[in-house]
Formats: sequence, structure tokens, C-alpha cells
Amino acid sequence: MVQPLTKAIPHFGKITLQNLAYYAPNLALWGGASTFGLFIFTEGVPVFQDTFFKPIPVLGQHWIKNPDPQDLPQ
Amino acid sequence: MSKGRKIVLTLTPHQSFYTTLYNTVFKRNSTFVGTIFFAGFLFQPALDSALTAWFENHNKGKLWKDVKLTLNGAAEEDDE
Amino acid sequence: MFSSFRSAVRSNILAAGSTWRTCKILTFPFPQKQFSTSAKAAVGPTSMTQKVIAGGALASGLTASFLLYQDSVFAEAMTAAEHGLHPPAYNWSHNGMFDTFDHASIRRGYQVYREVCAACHSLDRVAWRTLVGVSHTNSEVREMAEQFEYDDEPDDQGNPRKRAGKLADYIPGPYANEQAARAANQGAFPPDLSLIVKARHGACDYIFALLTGYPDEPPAGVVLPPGSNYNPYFPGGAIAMGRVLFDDLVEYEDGTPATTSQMAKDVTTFLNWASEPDHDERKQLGLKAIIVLSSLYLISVYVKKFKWAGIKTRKIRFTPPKN
Repeated sequence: MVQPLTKAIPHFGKITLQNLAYYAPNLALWGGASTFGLFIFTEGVPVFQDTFFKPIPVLGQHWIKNPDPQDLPQ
Repeated sequence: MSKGRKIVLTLTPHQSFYTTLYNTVFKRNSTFVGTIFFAGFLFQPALDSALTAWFENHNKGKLWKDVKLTLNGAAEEDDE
Repeated sequence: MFSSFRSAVRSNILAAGSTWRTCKILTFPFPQKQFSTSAKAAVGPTSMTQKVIAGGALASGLTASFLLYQDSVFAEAMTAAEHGLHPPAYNWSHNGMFDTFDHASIRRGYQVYREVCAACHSLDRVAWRTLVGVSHTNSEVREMAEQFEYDDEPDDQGNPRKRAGKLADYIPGPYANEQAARAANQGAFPPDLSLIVKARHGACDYIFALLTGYPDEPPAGVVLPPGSNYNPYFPGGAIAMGRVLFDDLVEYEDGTPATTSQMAKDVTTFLNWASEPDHDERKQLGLKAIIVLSSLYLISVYVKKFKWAGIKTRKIRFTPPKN
């Protein structure tokens, strides 16, 4: 019985470079999808509005509000 | 684990709109979910802007921002 | 008479599908003699005692009837006068589902409150800052608040100090406490107006009707307690507050003619805003909520029908085994 010569390719658990490359496009799409999911739920958060939403060309106008200081109770 | 029945739609110059839609949106779960989230993200400000515009037009003249303009212009107020 | 009643019972029971046996159980056990016709009772055995008893019963029955009738003629409870006249439904510009307050009216109403109502009524739960962006600008409200003094922190020696009002302060009332208010108003306590529109049946309509509903003379026959005035909209009719709004009592800055009803309308709108400062935003959000929730509901109905269509329309057929 000849013992076959085996050699492990570099892996992390079950993830290898080969199957990672295979899944990469799909994972990238999932990344995009979850980003938009995150956007939906952070739409009302000021930090996210300032960083991400206000710079959006046309849509960003929705978050840009310049109230008259005379209308603010401060 | 086979991936089940795979629908293969080849790209042809005459492919229909629905074929394009299927291939870009519905074919992969990631693009499908991503499209839903993206549409939701667009929908929020769109609905908000549209309804605010309608509401402010519906109550035009009664809102503070309209009343404010008549303050220093002195006496051309129309009530009722 | 009794026999016909019994036959009625019988026919009822028969109609209900019971047997005659049931009906027999239901027949009355006492001798029929006692239930003979009334004509016979009148000519029955008599004695002096019975006559007196019958006479007494008749007299007291008549008296009671007369008293009840008299009482019904002059009812004093549960009358319109006791409950107050119901106000008419006025066509407020904020009545509709999606209609905001008229903010020009709120602004004029604040002026009426300040120049007229504030002499007796407090507005404890309204802070100056809430007026900003609703009826006045920031600097206007600051100026209004600065005209009032508030308690400040004591100085280093612990002596009390005063300071000018600021936006965060609440609008001060005319009296230090309830006792002072009663002492100044012949024992009557002018209610706080912060939530008065919510706190009265008829809300805006009632306030407006009350303010404009003082007749020149109380109707004939109305007796008022000392120090009170007649107002048909006020429950009981006797209200400690007299008529306060008269034509041209205030001078509006926007040139609106200050008629009694105009001032009443404006101050009522202002008080409605004080009661419901969230009113405009609530209606705007309500519009959004109605649209989104009804769309989601319709979608869910469609999805349910779609998913169940196959189950609802399937046919299950049993084919018995052939032996």
C-alpha cells in the first residue's frame, strides 16, 4: 500500500484561496446589499447624514436643512 | 449539493427587457436583496419629500413659514 | 282575564314546541277564587277597616301621582340648563384630518391671551420656547420673556435674587397660588388654560361659544348667585367670569378687525395650540402612516391570497381501494 503524498493548501477553516476567489463576486454583491440595508436604518442618524447622505448629488438635498435661526428656540 | 435547476439565459442582441431584468436583479439573491434595500433607501426621502410638499401646499398660508413673511410687511393679512 | 292569560301561556308554550304536560306544570297552584274578576272583588265582603284601608291607599296613590307630576314639571336635574347648552359645530380651519392650525390666528390669539385672559388665567404648562417657530420669532419671544422676573439662584450670602425671563422659562401666571387667585376673584378660581381645550367637552366649539355667548340680560326667571354671570353654555348657567371680549378691545398688529368673535376665534385657536402643540406634526405623520400602513396591508392581503390560492382551490379525491 503506497501512501499517497498529500499536501494541504493554505486554508482558514474551510476557506481556501480557490473557493474564496469563486465566491468573491457574490460576496461583493452581498456587501453592497448590506450597505444599502445599513443605509435604510441609519437614514435618521445625524453622523451618517453628514458623512454619507448629504454629499449625494440630488437626493442629498433631502437631508440638507437650513432653518432660519429665528425659528429655533435656542 | 447541486445548485438545483439552473436557468441559463444567454445574452443575445435581441434579449427582452424582462430577460435583462431577470439577469440583473432576480437571478442572484444578493442582487435581489440589494435592489430591495436600495429601493427602500430611495423610497424614504422620496415619500417624505412628496408628502411634505403636498401637506405644505394643502395648508398654504396657515403655516408659520408663510405667516412669518407677512410680519414686517405690515397689514395685508387675509384671514378666512 | 286570567284564563285568557293562561291560554296565552299555553299557546306560547305550544308554539315553542313543548308538550302540554309542561304547560300543566306551569299552571298556578293557588285557587282560582282569589283571582276572580275585579268586578266581583268590588262587591265582595266589606267592613269598615277594609274601606279605610282602600280609601287610604287611594288617597296616598293620588297624592304620590300628583307629587310626581309636579316634580316632572319643574325638573332641575339632567336638564339642558344643568348641562349647559351644547355649542354649535364651528368650521375651524384646523378641523380636517390634514389641516394645520392657522398660525396667524395663533399669533393674534397669544396677543388676546396676553392682553385680556392673562389678567386672571395662568398658562402654567407652556414654556416661552414653544412659541418660537410657531407664532413668534426667536428674538420676539426673548423680548416677551425678559419682561417677566423669575427667581434666580441666591447670592453668596444666601439672599434671594431675581433675573429676567429666558426662553426655557414657563409663562408666569397672574397669581402666586390658588388662594391668591380665589381671594382676588370672590372665591372663584380661574382655571389654568394650558390644557383647557382638551379639558372641556366640545373643545374649541365650547370655548368659542362660551366667550361669545354672554347675553345682555339673563333670561326671565333665572336666579344667579351673587357675583356670577349668566352664560347658557356654562353648565348650570352661572359662571364667575363675566363677558370680557368686546369689539376693538385689542389692536391687532396685522390690521385684522378686532371684533368680539374674531378675538374669540383667535384666542381659542391659540389655546388649542397650547393644548396640542404636536397637532400639526401629528397630522403630517398621520398622513404618512396611513399611506404606508394601508399599502403594507394591501400587499399582505395580496401575498396571502397568492400563497393560499393553490391550497384553497385544490381538490382532494378519495379513491377507495377495490377489493
